Amino acid sequence: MSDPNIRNRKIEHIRIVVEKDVDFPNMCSEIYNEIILVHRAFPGIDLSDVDLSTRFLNYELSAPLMISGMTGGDPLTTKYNKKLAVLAEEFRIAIGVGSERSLLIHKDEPEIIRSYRVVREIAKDVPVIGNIGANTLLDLRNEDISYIISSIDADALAIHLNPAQEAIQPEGDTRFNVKILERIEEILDHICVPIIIKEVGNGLSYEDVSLFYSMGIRFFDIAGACGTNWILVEKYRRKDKITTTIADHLSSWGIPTPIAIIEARAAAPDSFIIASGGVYDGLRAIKNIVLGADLNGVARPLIREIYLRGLNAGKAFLETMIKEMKIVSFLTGAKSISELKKKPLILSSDMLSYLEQRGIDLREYKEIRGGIE
Amino acid sequence: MEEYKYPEIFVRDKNSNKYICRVSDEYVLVKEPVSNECYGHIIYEDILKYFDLANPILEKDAIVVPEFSDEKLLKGLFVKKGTKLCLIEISGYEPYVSPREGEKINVKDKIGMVITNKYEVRVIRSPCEGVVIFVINIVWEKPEKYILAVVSENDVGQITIRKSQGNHV
Ligand SMILES: Cc1cc2nc3c(=O)[nH]c(=O)nc-3n(C[C@H](O)[C@H](O)[C@H](O)COP(=O)(O)O)c2cc1C
Repeated sequence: MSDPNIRNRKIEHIRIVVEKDVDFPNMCSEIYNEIILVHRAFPGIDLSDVDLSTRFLNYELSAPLMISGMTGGDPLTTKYNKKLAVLAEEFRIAIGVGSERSLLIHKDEPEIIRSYRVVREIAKDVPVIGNIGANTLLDLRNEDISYIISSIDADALAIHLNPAQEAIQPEGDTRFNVKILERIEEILDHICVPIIIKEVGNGLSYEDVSLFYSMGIRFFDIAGACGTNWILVEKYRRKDKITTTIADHLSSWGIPTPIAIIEARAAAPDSFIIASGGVYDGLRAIKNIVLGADLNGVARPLIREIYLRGLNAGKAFLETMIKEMKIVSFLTGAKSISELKKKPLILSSDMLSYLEQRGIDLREYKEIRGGIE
Repeated sequence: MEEYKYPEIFVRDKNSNKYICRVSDEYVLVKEPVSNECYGHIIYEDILKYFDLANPILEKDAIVVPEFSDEKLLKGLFVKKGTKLCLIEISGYEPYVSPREGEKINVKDKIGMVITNKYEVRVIRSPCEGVVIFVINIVWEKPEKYILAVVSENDVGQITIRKSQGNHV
């Protein structure tokens, strides 16, 4: 469990994510363009009627949005978490922290604790979500899990699945066997906040969601393959020829975000589904909601804005995104999230063929895409 | 690289190409029988042939080596003919068993899971208490299954097996 490099890795990840082009090729623009929401020339509402507020983990959010878990674990990351928390609190959206594994490795170091804790201290009125890797659960005791939850007063714990990243990462931990399910079973018995099963950018499949759903989990962040691409991030960290070649070949590996939303919804009709992975604008965010997501997660653009241009740039990004979401909602004639979920949705023939081959019945999917209350 | 370890079973008076024999107070691993108390190596799953399934008991004395390797000294578990077996069947699309040979389990302990063909997880709990002595994976049947044989702790003898020198196996 002692990994002295984990702190450096955090900083290195941020630097690469911010400075290099590490998004999926084309960022799924074709797929998103082919998902059509119907324009209403007569929306039947005023723009000012649109209210996108959403309930999530017993908090009322101003919009179906969260800042996905990214960082913490090194004193240098405190300033980023601080700014992200300011954004979350000011915009009243949810926020996650990055993997809390270093919190366990450096248990007595107040500066490390603070790098995470600062999020809860600032983001008092919104959900704060803890984070740990599924593979590391094999090394952790139930008390460790309680500790990472209580140290930030988390409202939920995200357990991330990142097999693609670990496989490419120089020091990767590629244990993703069924023992992890057993550990999660035990943890479910031990903790009192919900678990969110999340990917980090290669997408959750029907099969993945179904497994965890059958264990009683009702929160999923599908983190699809349209935004930050960890295979590319790790490629920049590892310069050897073999890894670079493999990383190039796998650079579009994964389930695109809109498809992962459908897969997850089909597997878990009454669950809360978070869509992250390339959700960098309001139009995509609204398309995701109509497809079946309950909330959108944004990671890379926010860390990028605050790292390169500061807090105000982060504010401008969110302001634009939320305004765009409202306008798109208005143009479909929906004044709320629940109305949006009932709006017509047109899918491309490629998408329909995909669904058919996956055994997902279009009619059934359309009936449950809004979730089951 | 981690050394490869795997479980092996030896059955009393069985002909084989390697044996565990008792020589005075010692157990040795040899190529040919060297005493009148020898246990021949069998294919793991063949242990089923030595079960009386109707009234689950073991029909031959047997030795299980949970972690067979190149080490000079190996740990073995000895079970006598007539030992009562508590058998647990775990079957499904993707069955998975957590305890290994030699592990103690209690009633209601989680001992495995089955992933169904609909990708649902079922947790399996133990109906037996004791020491897991055999974990038999039956891959030739569909759905795939595991049979766990559990015996009372008092029925398991711990032995040490020495690899005989000059008679490598
Ligand atoms: C710098 C950075 C660090 C991240 N660290 C974590 C992490 O520790 N745990 C985790 O579950 N996801 C992590 N992620 C993944 C995000 O939470 C998110 O699921 C993913 O980046 C897709 O969103 P995006 O395309 O908006 O970046 C990280 C993302 C970034 C950009």
